[in-house]
Amino acid sequence: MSTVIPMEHDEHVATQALLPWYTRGQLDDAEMRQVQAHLEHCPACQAELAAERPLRTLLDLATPPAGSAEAGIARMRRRLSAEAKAQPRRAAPWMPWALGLQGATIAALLGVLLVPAAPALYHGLSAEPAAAGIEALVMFKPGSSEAEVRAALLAHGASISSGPTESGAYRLHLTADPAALAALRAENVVALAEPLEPRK
Amino acid sequence: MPGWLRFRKTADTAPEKAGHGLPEAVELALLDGIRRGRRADFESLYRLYHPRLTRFLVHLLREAELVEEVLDDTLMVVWQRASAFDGRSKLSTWIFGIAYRKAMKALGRFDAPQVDDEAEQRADPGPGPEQQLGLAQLRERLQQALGELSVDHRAVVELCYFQDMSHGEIAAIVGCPPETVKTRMFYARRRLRGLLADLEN
Repeated sequence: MSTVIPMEHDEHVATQALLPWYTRGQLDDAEMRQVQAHLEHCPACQAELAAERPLRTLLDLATPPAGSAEAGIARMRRRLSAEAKAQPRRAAPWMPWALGLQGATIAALLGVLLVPAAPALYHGLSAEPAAAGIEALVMFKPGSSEAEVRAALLAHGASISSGPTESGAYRLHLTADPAALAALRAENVVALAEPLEPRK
Repeated sequence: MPGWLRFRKTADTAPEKAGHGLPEAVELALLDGIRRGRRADFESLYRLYHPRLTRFLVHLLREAELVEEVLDDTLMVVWQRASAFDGRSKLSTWIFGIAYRKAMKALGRFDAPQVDDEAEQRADPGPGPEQQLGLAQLRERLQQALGELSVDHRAVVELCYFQDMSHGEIAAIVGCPPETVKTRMFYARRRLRGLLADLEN
């Protein structure tokens, strides 16, 4: 690099500083053009660009894999419970109201979801033995893929009894284990999971 | 709000697709549940962020116990102050910003830079029982190289290379102008590049 013009050095610095984002497509148009224009005539920065992938691989190796989140969840459960016990009034002032609202929302949802859809939901179910296991109303989060939903159902031994309703809710059959419903509710793809009273 | 806090547009023509799989909408739905006091949603968000924050904090703090503590404290803030998120940034930017500030506080570093003298001696637990000797040695050298970077430089490297964040997002998380983020990236990258060249020889 004998023919260095005054701005040249800064240009290398500016380009190399942006390379990691360049390879990720995270630059705006002006920066993208700036990097591209420089790369076209600079073999040194081209070599730097070529090093991006090995660099990333190298950095990947530097990180020991993260452990399971479950120990952390257990810690948080203890912490939240301890907090709730120690300072029952510590809950945000809107909390009781919010919980009430949540209950009301769920009740309203159940009403809305079940009542108009009842004939469809219960159609053909009467013949089924509802003995072992529980029925639940479940909604999945928007954008959940079929594979994610399938995985969640399989993981907790749940199967679809009927649905979707117009509102996108499903009636699921789960094992009698009450923990299964709670576990299903904890799944990322599940927006709502409420037990349905057995029909009398 | 200063101009540099506003995010730049991200190019759609991504040579490599950035991101962590789950759509923002899912995270926001969980946050909404958290605002309503739903612990199940909180736990889902915890699971979602546990690997990302662990990785970030391991590089920043380099101390397993501190990592756990800061991670939990960060998500505790999310639980308690979910309604403070105003939706003007991505949820991940907000959460990583909390984690960064908590980490800095834990390092007691707002005045004095943290020097890690033990980085060399510290043995890495390693990924598994298989023959990890080569990998363990490599990690040790990498950890050493990363340890020579300041915590601010490590944060920029980590947020870009592992969390796929733009320099605008990183600037919002660490609370500095994007130009500073780029400068830090240049120096951090040059240091790591030197290590890569060493290893290749």
